[in-house]
Amino acid sequence: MNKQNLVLGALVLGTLAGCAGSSGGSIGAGSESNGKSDAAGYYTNSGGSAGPIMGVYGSGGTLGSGGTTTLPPEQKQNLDFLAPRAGAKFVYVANPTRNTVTAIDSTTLEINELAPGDSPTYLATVPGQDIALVINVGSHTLRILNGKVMNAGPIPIIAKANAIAISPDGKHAVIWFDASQVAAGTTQTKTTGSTQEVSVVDLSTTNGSVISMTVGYNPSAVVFSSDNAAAFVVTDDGISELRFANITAPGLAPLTRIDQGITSLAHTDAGVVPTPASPDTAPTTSGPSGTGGTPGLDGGLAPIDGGTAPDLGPPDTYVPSPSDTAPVMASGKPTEVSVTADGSYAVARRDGSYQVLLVNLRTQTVTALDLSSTVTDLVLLPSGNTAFAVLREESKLVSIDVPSGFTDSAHRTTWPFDGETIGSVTMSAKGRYALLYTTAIAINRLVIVDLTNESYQTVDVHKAIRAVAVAPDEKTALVLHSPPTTSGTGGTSGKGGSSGTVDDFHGYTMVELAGGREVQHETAVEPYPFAITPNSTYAFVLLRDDKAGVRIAERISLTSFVADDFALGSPPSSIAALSVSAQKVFVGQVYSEGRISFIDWVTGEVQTVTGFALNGRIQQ
Amino acid sequence: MKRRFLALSLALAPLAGCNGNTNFWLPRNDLLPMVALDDRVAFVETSSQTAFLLDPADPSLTPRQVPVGKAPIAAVKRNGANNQLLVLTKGDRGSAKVKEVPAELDVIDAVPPLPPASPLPPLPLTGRFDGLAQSDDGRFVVLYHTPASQAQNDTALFNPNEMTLIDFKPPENPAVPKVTPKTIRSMGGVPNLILFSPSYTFTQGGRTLAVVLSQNYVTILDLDNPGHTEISVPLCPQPSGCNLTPVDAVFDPDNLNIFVRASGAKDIYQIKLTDLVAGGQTPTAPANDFLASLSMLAVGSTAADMALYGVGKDNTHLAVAAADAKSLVIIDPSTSSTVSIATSIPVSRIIPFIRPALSTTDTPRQQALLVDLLRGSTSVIFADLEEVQTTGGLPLSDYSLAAAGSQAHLFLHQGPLLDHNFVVLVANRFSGSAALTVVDLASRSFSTFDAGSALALPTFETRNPSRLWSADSGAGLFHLNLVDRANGGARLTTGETWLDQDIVAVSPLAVSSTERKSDLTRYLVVSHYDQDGVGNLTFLDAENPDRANARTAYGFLLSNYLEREQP
Repeated sequence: MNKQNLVLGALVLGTLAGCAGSSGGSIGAGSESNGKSDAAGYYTNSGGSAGPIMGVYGSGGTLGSGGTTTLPPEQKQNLDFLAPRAGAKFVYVANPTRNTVTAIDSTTLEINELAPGDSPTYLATVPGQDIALVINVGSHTLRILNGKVMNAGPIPIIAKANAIAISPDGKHAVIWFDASQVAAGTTQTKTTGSTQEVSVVDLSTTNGSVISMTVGYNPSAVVFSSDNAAAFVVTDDGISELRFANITAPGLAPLTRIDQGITSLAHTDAGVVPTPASPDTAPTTSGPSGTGGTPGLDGGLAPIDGGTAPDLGPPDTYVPSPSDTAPVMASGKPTEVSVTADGSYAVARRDGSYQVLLVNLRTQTVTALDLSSTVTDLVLLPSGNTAFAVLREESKLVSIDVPSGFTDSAHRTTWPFDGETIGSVTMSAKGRYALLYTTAIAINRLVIVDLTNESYQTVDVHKAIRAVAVAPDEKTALVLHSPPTTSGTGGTSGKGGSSGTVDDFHGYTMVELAGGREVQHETAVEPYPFAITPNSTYAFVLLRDDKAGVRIAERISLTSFVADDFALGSPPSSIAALSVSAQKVFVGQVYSEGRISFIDWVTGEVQTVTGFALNGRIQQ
Repeated sequence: MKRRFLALSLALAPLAGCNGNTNFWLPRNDLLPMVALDDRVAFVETSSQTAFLLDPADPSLTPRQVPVGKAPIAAVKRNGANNQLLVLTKGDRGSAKVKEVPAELDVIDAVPPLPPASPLPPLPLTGRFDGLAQSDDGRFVVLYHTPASQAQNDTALFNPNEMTLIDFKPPENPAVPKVTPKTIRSMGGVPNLILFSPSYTFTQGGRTLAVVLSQNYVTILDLDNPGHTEISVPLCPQPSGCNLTPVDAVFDPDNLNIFVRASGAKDIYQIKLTDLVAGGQTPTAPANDFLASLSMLAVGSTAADMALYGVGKDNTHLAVAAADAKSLVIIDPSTSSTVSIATSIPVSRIIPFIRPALSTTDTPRQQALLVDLLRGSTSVIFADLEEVQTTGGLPLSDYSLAAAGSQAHLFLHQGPLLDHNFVVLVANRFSGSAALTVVDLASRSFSTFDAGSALALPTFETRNPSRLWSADSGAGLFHLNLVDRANGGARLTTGETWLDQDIVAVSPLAVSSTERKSDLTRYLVVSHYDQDGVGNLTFLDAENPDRANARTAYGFLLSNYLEREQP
């Protein structure tokens, strides 16, 4: 499943405590740094349920009935530690070639050039605070920046490090090596060293302290328990636990292996006789595509505004039989690992697998639950008591109570969304909404599931979906669309074979989650990246086309959905929101001497700092 | 016209007529350019190492002679209310047979101080400098090596970035100048220009800064703390492949900013100073108690001129002329936001001024006169700069000049004249019609003056009555009264005085003699050709120039001739 939405979500939530950046959190953010995809997933067209994909899609090509189509690989996106990072009011920019970090005060535009060490390269901020951690690649040290002041001398850390995960409470950090960044080209390193060591940083002391711990092979993600008491390192071997209170000296972190010692495989044989969902109990949508789950083949269009959201109806506990969907005992490292609030359990899935894993972090045992088809996405409610798995092949969302749902089918609920194609889920910050969609093919529909009222509605967003982000107040969502292609990506998802309309425009759609109202904005170029203010009043998207000279930051009111543009002096490259008190977003731009603009999201006043890169050469 | 010859001149009179060259046997005086002090003029003769100070009110016109150091290279009036002559000497590097003579700075009072006060002794220097820059108030002097000094070969080895800072009124002992040798970092260049700031207020006190402009970088010196480390601010992102020449700097002490304009750059460089103590830090010497940070303000085209207007925190704006782009760019340094307005002429000079209130309900307005001094435009523009903040636009008003022909190049004299809201535009030919245009900034009115013959040497006198002095190619001395504030009399009136000799320079003195109260005349000093450097000046009453009362002094620089060593 495309986790791009979650990465983007991390940007949105970058200033919110609890679930930011690679530091993770129990939902979303924990997996966003992974950026895992289920690129190898197959889309099997199977009878009646295949309705939604029977039509001709703008870019998806014609899916033959009964055929098997390989979905395009999902995009993977890493958190860019090289981009400017936002604190509460400071923006930090690492300048590795000049051995400096520039701290720019967004309120005064004061530029502070700090020299934290040799080749400061990777930088992360404590969510919502003006505390930054920077890895000095040249000296294998970590420097803590507090506002515009550096803490006492650099702290030695592991030699091979390119990633920083900070606990939501900002009291601990884990420094580790993310090999995926090398593969993605965002990191280049010739440094040798163990990839199984991490540095655990205690930030509660004035100058910080570091203890090295050994974890499993090839770490790919670090997530934190919601109580901030522990970090969990996802590795090829399993999940290594870093319980901060127990770390007093270098040692081996407890490792819970995933592929060994699985104590139970629940329902691989569908021990409970499934009860097929009846049309009258299946979830319905307010539009023609949702009634009864039998998709029309006449190309009927999905409702524009979703209308009145119907109830989901009784839970569907149906689990396909093995004969229908043989479980796949996939191996490989878990993805989308989320940890419950108390750190007792982790849930995970594996690419291309039917399984959802429950890792008991206290007993170091694993329970695998085989679902009826490939799990393409998995999230955990913020409370940690329920996991949601998306089964794209069956257009189902499975709710699994943690931990009971892994052993007792009565604690699982399957919600079919017949007629829809869903592969990804984006959970709102407080867990009220789950937004279901797919980014694998050109489907224009967004399913908004109200988990509180157990109802849902479908919104036609008119273009293929690239990513979805929900504002922190859970009232609105920003849907970024896939770029158009010559074959017509973004065309209407005809449900009966009608041709998708060729769309020449990029764009995004604002969606009101409660009412399902959507407003589409066409843009000349692809809107990306974006940011949503932490008080949920505005969203910003960047528009950049160097050839066409497009250099715009577009502000969208989250109440009126009205957008206005701010011309920028240089091509924009990054954006993030600062704190509510600062009331600004910063826009990093491509400029040889460095350029960052601060936009007051209320007044629209733009302040630009140009040439701060020169500061590294100033000799005071 | 009275003519007074010095005794030695009279003694040489019998020799007149021998082949027409009366001075064939004389060693020629080697003079530095004349210096006009407040009430007298000064010459420095390098061979005899003598400064001659001549008081026009002295009936005998006998100059006072003051010895100076060896090899004088520069002589200037000390700025501010200091009636003193500064003479920079290079000394003698010495040889096997000649003892080294150190360079020195001589401070010569126009009027010798009365006991118990004593003249300042020469200030010995560690370097053989040839450049001297001083603050407007004359408190600080920076001695440095000019780029030209690198071509000189009279010094075996020297650091072109070596300089000496002089504080004439150090707080610890205001009577004793503080001399601090300083070698600033070299980032590949040498000082091209040194500018002095007004006082910047920091927590630990006010500071006067010296800004040294060098190729590709700027150096900031805290003159109140000369022992502190200098701040080197590069203008290029990379040390190589860059060719930026900083040419100007303006100071914004209200916001602790310095703005630097550089040729070849399409941005204005903003150097922001941060008060570290105010920020809770306690830097210790030699570290500075302020930090410099650099940012760039986009102009979009090479800046031909810049001017700061407005006062107060976050209330100053920068007007930048982009001549190539024919635009005026208004920059709010606090936000870096810019407004670019097209102009009808390639503006190369911005003259900000405050237009007085026109009525009881009106308020003074910040405006500017925009002039093209380089490309022959025959119109000027008035710009209401304040409109930028109120309407986002910039009302411009073009006014045609009556200059003859479109090729007339203009140059401008301003400065304190702006106190009177006058600007005088002078056509470079300075003859024919529209040789002069006087612009009344307040009323936006123009007065054009024709010249029957080519004028030269325009010299502006800003004291009351403000006056433009000029000369024709011969002995005619002209003046144009610009302002007469004292009695509210007529302005823009002209006058002329004919002298016996051709005029080569005009130097109005500031005050009447401070030494001889019997003569309260404030003199105008007119220089004539003086091929032999013996001294050839005419003194006139600057208030009422009249040939009848003019006096010529000739040969006064030979006063010490008999005492000199023979060649």
